[in-house]
Order: sequence, then structure tokens, then C-alpha cells
Amino acid sequence: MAVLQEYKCPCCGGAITFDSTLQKMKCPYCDTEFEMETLVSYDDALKTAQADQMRWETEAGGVWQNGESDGLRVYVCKSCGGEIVADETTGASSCPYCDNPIVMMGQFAGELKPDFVIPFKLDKKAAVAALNRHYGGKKLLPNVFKNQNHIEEVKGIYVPVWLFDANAHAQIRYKATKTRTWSDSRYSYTEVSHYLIRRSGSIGFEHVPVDGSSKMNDTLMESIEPYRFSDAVDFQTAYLAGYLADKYDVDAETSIERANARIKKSTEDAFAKTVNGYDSVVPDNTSVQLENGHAKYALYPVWLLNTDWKGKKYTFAMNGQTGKLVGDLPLDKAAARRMHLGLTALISAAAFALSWLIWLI
Amino acid sequence: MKKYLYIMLAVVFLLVSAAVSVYADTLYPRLTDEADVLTDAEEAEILEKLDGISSDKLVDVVICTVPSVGECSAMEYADNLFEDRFYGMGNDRSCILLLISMEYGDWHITTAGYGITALTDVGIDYIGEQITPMMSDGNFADAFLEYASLCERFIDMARSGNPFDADDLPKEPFPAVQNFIICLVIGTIAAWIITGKKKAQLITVRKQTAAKNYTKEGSLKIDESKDLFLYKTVTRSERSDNSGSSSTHTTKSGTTVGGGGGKF
Repeated sequence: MAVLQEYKCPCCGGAITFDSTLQKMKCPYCDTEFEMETLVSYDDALKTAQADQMRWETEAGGVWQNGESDGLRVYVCKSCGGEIVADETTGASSCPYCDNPIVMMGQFAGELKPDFVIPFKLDKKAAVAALNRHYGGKKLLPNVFKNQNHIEEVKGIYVPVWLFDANAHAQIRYKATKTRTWSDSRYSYTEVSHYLIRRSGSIGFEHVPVDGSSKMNDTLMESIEPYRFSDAVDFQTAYLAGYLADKYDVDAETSIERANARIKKSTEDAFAKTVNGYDSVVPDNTSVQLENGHAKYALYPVWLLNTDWKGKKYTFAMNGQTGKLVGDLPLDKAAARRMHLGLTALISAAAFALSWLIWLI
Repeated sequence: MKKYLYIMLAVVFLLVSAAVSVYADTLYPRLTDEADVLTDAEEAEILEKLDGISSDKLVDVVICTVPSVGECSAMEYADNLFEDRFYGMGNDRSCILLLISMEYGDWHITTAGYGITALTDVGIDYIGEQITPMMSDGNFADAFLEYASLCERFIDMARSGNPFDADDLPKEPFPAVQNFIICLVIGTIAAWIITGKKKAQLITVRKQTAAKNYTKEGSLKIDESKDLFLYKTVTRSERSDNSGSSSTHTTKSGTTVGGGGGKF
């Protein structure tokens, strides 16, 4: 049986959570607030504590078939004793029986311990408000979706990410042209001068994030970037209280490919900006070498909002630090057709009137 | 004394007569209808008009119809007629000659001297547009009278310092159907772009292509920066804008003439 951690209020014994507004731990029962430094010591004390010896007879239940329990972990809630079955990557959750926030300590121990965490800066209310703003100003969003839409689930989740630091050395060759035109009484002339451009140098990258969770959609995670690493703090399990959290299940080695692609593109873009004064510039050859590359493990805050409409699931994600919210919305096809026809008629009529005015002049 | 005065008057009269004859008399009449497309009455009427304009404006305005131009082009044949029949008035042999060849329905105008100035390329094209439909209908007399009138008008315009040009072309009727179709296509494409942008607002989940937000500030260092010139190419194309000008070429005898033509 794995170990669960929940943070008890020293005053009333209630389960305490991290308050993103106060940036402190706060007891929802007696409203007592605790500084994070206090919790650091508290967390250390928890780590040195011996694991609970809570053995249960399991003969009463059926025996798991081969492979049936793969990917599952069973925990016992310290508050109510309820047995919690969770995904093997779940690192923090809440007890389905007593709703107390819990942290699966073993998921973030030893080599699995994240280096950094960016704590939530925005709460659930901010996420719902951001979603309502997201609906605004979109004329082709079905009104029924806006009016009947009820958010079924709002989850604050710490997503595991790999942060890659590296210096990129690049040698890039471009083909460029300058064009000059002039004319005399009979001919128009075009002179095209061709150049070979070479740029060599280096550029540094830090904290390029790559989603380390297979459960989190990579594109969704990239869409809510950027995260400001300046808010990151050393990892403490206390930050996870009150939120969901996963440990990584996509390792750093696998994530490197994605980081490389993004670093290479940015290197090419940065070097291309140093080629000025030409009418056309086309990269001819690019060579990028990385050095001092290393990865760190961090947890980034994300609010996930889910809803169903016409049998389809819509997921919205909000950056728990900056408030940037993304999520694809359904299209009102009838409204799109009406808009297209209306605009066609309007623009055509305006163009026709303009052509007539030009003819009159 | 009186005798000397008569002699002097006679000499002056002869000199003036000789001078006028340079302008007025040519070896061939200003209308030769070898293709026989005109009646005698029409010929007389047109010839009278051509003679009147020519002597008044001091530019030979000539019409020649032929059954065929043989192996020549219409331009060569018209140029040869101008040369061989010694058309043209004054030292610069000012002339506007319209040749009609019936075999393949060719027309060509050769201009010389002040005729080159008076009839710009735009003017020749305009005359062609006006007379071609009449000639296609077999109405040559009206076509030739129209030609003569237009020559007179264009010479007057040139004398006043404003030769007939693109700006002088009469306004064509408003092409309503053509414009409607073009505007409908423009409207459809513009509406498609605007609606597409509105649709794109609904899609916000997009992959990041780069890592621009994660570059270390001030870390870009360019160690080598070389711009090497390789070669250059020059292409030229003839300007299409000939507005206000008259194209010219030389005849077999080296005379510079202008002109243009087409078919009816």
C-alpha cells in the first residue's frame, strides 16, 4: 500500500490547501494561514517520519487477474480510512469519500522528485471567468453552446514537464537576392544581384518546456505557453495540496526530440534576422550543434475545464500562472453560411458601386 | 513703266502658281478605287472631300483600294504606293494614306511628315475601330468619309498642340455585366477570407513551432558574418505604354513613315 500525505491544520486538524491568491497554505475550516517556509520544515519532518504500517486483509476480495492491476495504485486516506484506487502516475488528488486533499508521497520521492514547481497564481474562479471571456466576441460560436454550456469539471492540475537548457551553435548559409529596376523610353530593366550569405554563432536557451505526461495533450500544453520561470520555486509537496498532480510518464530522453525541433527553429529565426538589406533570403544549409544541454524536472500549474456538447467533449486549458486560456470551440455552420452570403452580397455591391463611380469620373 | 509692272505681276503669278502646284498637284488622284468598291458618285464626293482637306490642312489625305497586295504585306504595299506615286505635301511630304486590300480584308494607314505627328498609334487604332465595322458591312463610302473627317479632326488637334491621345478616346459604355461578374468574384473571395478569419478565432489550440520565449536575453552572438556577391543578371522587357507616341519605320527608299493597320 503506498503512502498518502495530507496536510493537517495544527489548529483544528482540518486538511489544509495551498491558496493561490495568498500564496500560502490556508485551512478552509478555521481560516488559519501558514507561511510556506513553515511548511518546508513541516515537509522535512514528514519525510523523516516512518511510513505507516497499515496492513489490510485482502483475501475477502477477489484476486486481481494477471495484468488487471497494472497501472493502478491503491492508497488509504488518512482522514477517513477510505481506500483510493488511482492511476500509477497520480501524484496528488482528493479523497472521493471525505474530499480531503491528498498527496501520494512516493510519487515525488528520490529520483522522481521534481526540481521546481511553479505554484498556482490563479484560482478556480479565475479559470471560469477566463472561459466566459473566451466565449466573447466569437460570432460563429453557437449561442446555444454559450447559453446551455455548463462546465462539468474544473481541475487544477500540476503537469510534469521537462525543462531543457542548452547553448546552440549554428552555421547557416543563405541564398539572397537584391533587385533593382529602371526603364528608359523603350525598355524596362530588372537587375537581380545574387549573394551567398554565411552566419555562424551561438544562442542560449533555458527552460524550454516539454510535456512529460502522456495523459496531457501536448498541443494543449504548448498552446498555453509561455510560463515565466522566474516564479518557479524549489519543489515542496505542500504546494500540491488541493490540486491534482501527476508524475512524469514520458522520460526526458523521449522529450529531447521535441525540444530540439523548437530550439533549432528558434535558432534559425534568430540568425535569419541578422540577414538584412535583401529582397529575398532563402536558407540553403543549416547546421546546429547543442552543448551543455541538460534537463530539469518541474511541475507547471494548469486549470483544465471540461464540458460535453452534442456528444462531443470540449477541453479548455488555462495557464495557472498567467491566465492564458485556450480550447477549440464548436462552429455554427448555419451562421457561417449566412455570414459568407451576407458579406458576399455586401462587398460585391460596394465593389460594383465603386466601379460605377470610377467610370463616372 | 506700265509694261514692266505687267511683266512683274506675270512673274509673281507664275511663281505663286508654281508654289501652289507643289502642294495641290500630284501625279495620282487622292482616291484610286482599283478594287471598285465605290460608285462614281461616291468616288466624286469622297475625292472632293479629300482634296478639300488636303489643300486646307497641307497634308495629303489619300485612299487607295486594291484587289490584292500580292506577295507584299499591307504595310509594304501602302509604303510603296506612298513612294511610287509621290504622295505627300511640302518638304517633309506630309501624308496620310489609307490602303484597302479586298483579298484578305486588310487595311493599313501609312503616315509621313506631319501625318506622323497628327496620327498617333492611338489615333490610328481609333480610326480602325470606327471604319472597320462599316467596311465589314460593305459600306465603304461611309467608312472613307469617316476616315477623312477623322483625319481632318486629328490634324487640327495636332496643330493646336494636342495630338489625339488615349485621354481623348471617347468613354466606352459602362460594362455592367462584366463588372458585376468581377465584383461578385471579388465579393466571394473577400467574404471567404473574412469568414475564414472568424472561423479561425474558434481554434486556439496550436502547437508551438519554436522556443522564442525561452531564449537567454542577449545570448545571440554572431562570430562570422559574410555576405558574398556571386553574380548579377539583367533582363529587359519592352514597355507596353506607348501612349502619346507614333511608331515609325523606314520605306525602301529610306523615308521615315509611321502607321498601323488591321483587318475588317
